[in-house]
Amino acid sequence: MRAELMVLGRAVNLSRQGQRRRLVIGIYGVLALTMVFLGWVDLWRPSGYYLVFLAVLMNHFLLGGYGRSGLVRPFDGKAPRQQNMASPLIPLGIYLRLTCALPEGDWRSDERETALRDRVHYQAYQWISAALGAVWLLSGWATAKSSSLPALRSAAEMLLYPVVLASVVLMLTLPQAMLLWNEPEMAEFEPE
Amino acid sequence: MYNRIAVLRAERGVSRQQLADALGITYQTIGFLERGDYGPSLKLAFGLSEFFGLPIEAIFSTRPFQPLSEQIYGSRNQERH
Repeated sequence: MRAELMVLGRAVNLSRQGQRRRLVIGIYGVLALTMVFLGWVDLWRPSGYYLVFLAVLMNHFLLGGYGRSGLVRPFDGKAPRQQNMASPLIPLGIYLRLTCALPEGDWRSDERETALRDRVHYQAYQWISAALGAVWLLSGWATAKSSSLPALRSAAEMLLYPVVLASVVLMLTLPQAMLLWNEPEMAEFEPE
Repeated sequence: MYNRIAVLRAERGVSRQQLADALGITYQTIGFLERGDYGPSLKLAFGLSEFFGLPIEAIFSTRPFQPLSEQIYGSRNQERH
């Protein structure tokens, strides 16, 4: 994990665990507010896609894990494209240089980071699978009880889509967020 | 797991970044190793042993290390007596 985040060409120091935890809380706060807003707009259909798009943006600019930018180095360990390209996520051709040219090898996770990556993916997907399993069981129960409680069935049907949407967002962001949350304090470490 | 990486690095005037580059890891991992927050793989332990030119047991121990000064001057004092 990087100790600095590149924001608009400037390095923001996030070597303190508290700073990283505040960032994670902020990201999920924004995602939760957006989800509530989109539910209020059209019950997430079709605006739910914007939430997934926002989660991808959060990964691209802040969390990392899937590209050259963000705090977490790429999970796949593959070298990113070398030329500085305008981000395809920025519309209207606005060129924001959000990443700097990475030093050779900065994209590669070492043995400690690779072990952490595997552990947080296991933990994150265990939680997500358990939540989806619980929703599946609840929807089955609601269907079984639908004859006596018709309101229950309609509520279950209404909630199914946002739960799946939230799971997609968590699948995209939770492993990186757990890495940022759990990484110990590294403020005292200086590279030189 | 206890180690003497910080002492050995300071003794040789090697920065965390230089040591990390030599071993193909990040300088944060060197910091976590020094602080005892991370136990290295056998491969990394051998890499450190090769870098410092010392046997693994001189760098890592399951028990706290005696300070080097105490080890050197303590044994000299014992020889005198």
